[in-house]
Amino acid sequence: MTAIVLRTQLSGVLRRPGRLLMTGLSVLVAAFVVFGTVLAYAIVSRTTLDTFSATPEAVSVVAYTTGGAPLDPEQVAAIRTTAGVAEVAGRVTATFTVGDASAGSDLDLLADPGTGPLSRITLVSGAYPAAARQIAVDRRAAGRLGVTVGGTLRLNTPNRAGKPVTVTVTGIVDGPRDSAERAWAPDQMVAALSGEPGFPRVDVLAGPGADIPAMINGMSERLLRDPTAYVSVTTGDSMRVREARAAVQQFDQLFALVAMFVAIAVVAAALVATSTFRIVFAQRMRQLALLRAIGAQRNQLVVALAVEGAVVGLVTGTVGVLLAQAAGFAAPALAAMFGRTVSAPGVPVGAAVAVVLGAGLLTAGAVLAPAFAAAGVSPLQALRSASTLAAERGITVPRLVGGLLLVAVTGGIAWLTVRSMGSSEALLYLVGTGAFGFGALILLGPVLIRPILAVAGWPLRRFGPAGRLAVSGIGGTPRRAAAVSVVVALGVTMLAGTVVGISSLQLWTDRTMASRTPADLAMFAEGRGGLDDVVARLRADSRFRDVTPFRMADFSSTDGGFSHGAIAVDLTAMPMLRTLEASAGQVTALGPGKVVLSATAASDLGAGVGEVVTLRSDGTVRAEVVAILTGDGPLRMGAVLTPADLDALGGASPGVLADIATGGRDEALAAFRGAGAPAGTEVAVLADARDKADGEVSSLFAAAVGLLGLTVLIAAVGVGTTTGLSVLERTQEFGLARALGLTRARLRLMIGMEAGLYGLIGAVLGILLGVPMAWLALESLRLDLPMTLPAGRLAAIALVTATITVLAGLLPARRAARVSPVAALAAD
Amino acid sequence: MSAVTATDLVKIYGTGPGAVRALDGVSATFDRGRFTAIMGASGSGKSTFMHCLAGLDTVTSGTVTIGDTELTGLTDRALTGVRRDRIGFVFQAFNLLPALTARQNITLPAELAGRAVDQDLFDHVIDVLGIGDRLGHRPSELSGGQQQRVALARALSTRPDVIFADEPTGNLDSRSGTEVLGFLRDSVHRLGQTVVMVTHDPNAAGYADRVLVLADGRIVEDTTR
Repeated sequence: MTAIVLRTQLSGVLRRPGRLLMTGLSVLVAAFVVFGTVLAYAIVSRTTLDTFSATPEAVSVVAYTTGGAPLDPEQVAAIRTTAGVAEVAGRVTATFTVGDASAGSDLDLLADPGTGPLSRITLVSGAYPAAARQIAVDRRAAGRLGVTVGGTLRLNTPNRAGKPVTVTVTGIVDGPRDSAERAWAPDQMVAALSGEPGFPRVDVLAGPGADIPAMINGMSERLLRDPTAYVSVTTGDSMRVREARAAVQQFDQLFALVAMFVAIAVVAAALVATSTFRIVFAQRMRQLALLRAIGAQRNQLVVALAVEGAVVGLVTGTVGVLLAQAAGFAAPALAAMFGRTVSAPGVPVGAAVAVVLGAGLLTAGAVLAPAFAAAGVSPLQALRSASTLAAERGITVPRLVGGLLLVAVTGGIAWLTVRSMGSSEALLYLVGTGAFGFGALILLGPVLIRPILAVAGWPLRRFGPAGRLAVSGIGGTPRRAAAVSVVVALGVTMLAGTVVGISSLQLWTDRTMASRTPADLAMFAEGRGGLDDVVARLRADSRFRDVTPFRMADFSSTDGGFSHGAIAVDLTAMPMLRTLEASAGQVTALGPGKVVLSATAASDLGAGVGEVVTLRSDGTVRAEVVAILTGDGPLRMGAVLTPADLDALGGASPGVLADIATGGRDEALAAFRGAGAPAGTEVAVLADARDKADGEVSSLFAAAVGLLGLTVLIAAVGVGTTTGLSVLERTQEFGLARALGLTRARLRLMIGMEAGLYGLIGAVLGILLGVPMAWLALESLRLDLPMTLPAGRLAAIALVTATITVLAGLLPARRAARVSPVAALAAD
Repeated sequence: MSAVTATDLVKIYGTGPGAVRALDGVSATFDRGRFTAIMGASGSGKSTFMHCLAGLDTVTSGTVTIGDTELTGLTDRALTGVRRDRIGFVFQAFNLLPALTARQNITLPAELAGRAVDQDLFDHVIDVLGIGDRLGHRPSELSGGQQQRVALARALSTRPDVIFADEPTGNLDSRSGTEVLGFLRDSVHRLGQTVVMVTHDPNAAGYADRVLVLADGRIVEDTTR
């Protein structure tokens, strides 16, 4: 009997493969995403292993020390004279400061032979250093330091006792890049300049036909004679693999994070599948009722429907996996079009089978609740007319009680989260709050639809009858609306939470940057001498704007406690300075006899707004605190004073801040350096630090939004399939509406609006859940980030979600509009 | 003065040897303020005839005129407007949109036209049909007879040129059916409406002023009382 029941259900599925695809579309997308992630990991790992080249391909043996002293010249000589060795290159990086000893930019000097198989660089212009006190710089360093071939640089060794050395730049090269500016020279010249004769690592090129194992043995024997030496000798190949593995490891963490987002997407897919099957079974209600009437048992129906779910899951899962595999194979060709080299992912059969089976299980699980509901159909339903089927009542009492219970549990755990602030359990409680809160949302969803609709739907009501029909259409079927909207809400909850978290991070970064990097460029003079000429020259140069002189000095509190810096600068002169925020008092109230304190200085001095503090240095200044900043003062100073008060403090040294108005940063920097500053002046590119911080925040934002976008995409698929299936189900209803005078265009508009409303309701629910969750997280994890409500971004999320769901509903809407009015009259 | 005129209506479904001539040159005139019943066995063409008269379906040849508007040749948009403004419908089953309340269902045509609801007429119709206390309910909360009365209220509340009723009592028990037929007759005699009803039930036809009988796509009998 079960087999017969199964056959009746499955034959329907097989007769309409398109509908099968529609039912399982969310599972297909989820399988694609999961397997796509597996393949992406394979591609990234392989590409890294294939192309990672910190050790040149030609290197056959590497000798290196792990901690302890570098390989000294005798050890290097021992390596050089080992049988079979053709060439050796010491590897070392020495850091120098360009300009003054206590100031200026860092320059990393790396050892490289310059030519031959052991070299990692290529010469662009000039010649590679061949004599002492010669270096080659990379193009970035040349731009930043304003040097050309034949120019000179004054280098200070990191150890301050060493005298500065003047070197000649003989060439410009291209080489592996880093955040620091780089220069290159042969190993002996680097050693001579740095005064450190040893190398922590030596790369060895074997002669033709050399016996590598024998060579390694020979070297080990010579180098390991001293048992306290921390020297290792290995092949170039194993070194390359080790370096690549270390590089791949950083992706492991990244992919662990990705896996978490993918898991959320899978949950979303299961929810979408559940809601889709609910609709599909509702359409078959009369057929199922007929089966019950002629004697099919309830559990037979459940089994048949669950098997159908599993079949749909297996088929769509397979399609998803195959599509992902095809995309994986296409990746190298696609990357090649953009000039990038990417390795093919291979065919991970085990993972593919696991994903397909997982899709089957997931779908069978997702289908259970609707299957039980559908199997509970009364046999009498077979005899009733269709019009009574579409009606929906509210939610059952057990569901309501369960939902309220979950709300209570959520509240309880949230309370625990706040109580365990900062502890390691806080994160666990936080996850619990989210999970139970979402569970409550699933159960109570139908009750929440109408109140939210009353708010979210009012603009649509103004769209005339189509809008009003859409709003009533959703209000009349709250359970279906809730089932779809909750999936959208899952995605939006995560998105809204992330957006709030990142906005807080951004605000914090902005505040920090306003104090740390108030300008693009800064110049700090060594002595007391004025920079008036420099200021005048910079102001006359159209490449700069907001040229602002300042002076700074050190002070300590009266009782000889902490030392802080004090600065005198016009707080209204630069855009970034104007963004400084006070947690108490008014920054603009600064004047003679007044002081603005940083948060730390205020707490060290134990002073509040309105109190008088004594700042002590060469002289003593008493000033009234008019404002306390949220963080540091400009350039991380502890106090902002007027110039006269700073003079009274004594020992002030001048400086200049400037923003770049036009032209590139490297060019502006060279001009800034060349503005005639006295000797010993330090120049800092504050804009670099700011860009780095901004870049980190915005790439974090882009990555999180991109990954969470997957969940929203699956939710949109859910809205699309729900709308599509409900169009099939509501043919009579649409036919009737057309018979009564609803035009095609308006019918399309109405269905599109219904789909958009699913998205909008989900977005509202998601924001209502996600924003408090994010605040709770910020508070309980003690990240010391300010709480924000990025209303603009949240509104954008709601708008984009609604738009995506409208688009998802458009295709079914077009089909529905083709319904002939006669369909309303067709006997069913 | 006629409300609806049909001239030489031909409707052919399909092509070639399988083609079915559902209407085979039917002509008829329906006068204002009259209750006409169209009868016939299953497959006689009576439903097709009504669909064509009401602009729900297109005709192969011939013309249909409602008031002074000829339906044949109108665009879908114009036809939709005619149905909305000048025709009322009462169907056998599935008459009401399940998501809307009874009141919203009744005022739907006015909504679609962007017109204000004629409150006096609405109140009068509700009063006559006795559904004043059911207006806030959704169709699923109404009995079959109540659903048909709401559908009738919707049809009446726009003062249409003609009301088409397709087996309006087909799904009802005999008491509710009698009630609905009584209301239809009253709407003709007391409100001056024009009603065209398709039915296969001779009892229902007994309420009409005139009975047309169709067989094989032709009018074979036309009786006026």
